Amino acid sequence: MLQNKYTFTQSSAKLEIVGLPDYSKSDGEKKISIISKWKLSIIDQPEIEGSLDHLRLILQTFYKYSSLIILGKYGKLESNLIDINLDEEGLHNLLLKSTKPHIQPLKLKLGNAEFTDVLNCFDQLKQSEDISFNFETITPVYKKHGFNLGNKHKIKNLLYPPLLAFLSIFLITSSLLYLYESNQKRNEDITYKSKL
Amino acid sequence: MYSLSNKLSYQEIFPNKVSIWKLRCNNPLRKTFVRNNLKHHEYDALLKITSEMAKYLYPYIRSILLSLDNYNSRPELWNDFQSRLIDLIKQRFNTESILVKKLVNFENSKNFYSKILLTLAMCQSEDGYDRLKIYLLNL
Repeated sequence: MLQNKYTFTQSSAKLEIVGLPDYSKSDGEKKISIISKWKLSIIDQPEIEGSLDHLRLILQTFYKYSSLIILGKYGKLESNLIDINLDEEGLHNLLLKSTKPHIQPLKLKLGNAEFTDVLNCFDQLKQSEDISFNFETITPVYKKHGFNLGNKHKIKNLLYPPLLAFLSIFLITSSLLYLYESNQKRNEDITYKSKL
Repeated sequence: MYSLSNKLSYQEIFPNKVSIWKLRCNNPLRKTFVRNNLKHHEYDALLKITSEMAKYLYPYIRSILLSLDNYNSRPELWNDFQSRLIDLIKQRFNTESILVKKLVNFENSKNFYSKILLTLAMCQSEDGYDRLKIYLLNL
């Protein structure tokens, strides 16, 4: 049986997906529902290939990492097969760990341009109608971040202005009240003395 | 932008170039800032146009990002881009504002511009449109 092959390219990155249609799901001849092989090639970098679980984990890590970048949280992501983090030079460090014993992990340094190329290849795969791949557990759920109590600066910014305003109003009114009372007492004394 | 909006069939939302210009004037940093109520479908259409523009300009965005990645050996393209962007901001934005003064500072604004370019490079697809949306929601 002939396998189908689809290629997604974006500038320096190329993603190849090879697989078969699932006739039990009444797939067409050109469709891929069972991925048997995949390969990611980036110019000036070694080729990356593996099983379907590897692809799933790499996709999951890339999408999660991209969402962190979008939200301005440059953290480190670690998993059984892939670690990714941003170094001081602004490059994305990838550490791909093999499941086979005695094989050293593969280190890659991707610039912003290469990283976006790879991400756009994955986006093309996601949008492809010819490849049936479950992205539900892979794509992170984007949501608007509400008020975060863990952020001390936000609490300070929220509480300090009304507190300062209340304190200043309290100080001004108490000083004015004191002046008013002493003035009132002086007036009473003057009227008492004049009556005498 | 207008031709892209026509391509995306937004003739009803943006019947002419002035309608796009009016929406762009909602930016409080602009010299010509006008407070208008931006409707949801207008906001959505602007995001779609931005995403489509990023797709169209991706080769340029990529080469500028590449120049930033190799800044020590090839800084020319990044420096040209940053200088041009600063010139445009000086022309169109209110330079009396502290925020704009920070934006036009060549040394300090590098990280901010690189973040914008990276976001644009990541928002050139359907998923990228969602990324752009979440980026703006979390500003």
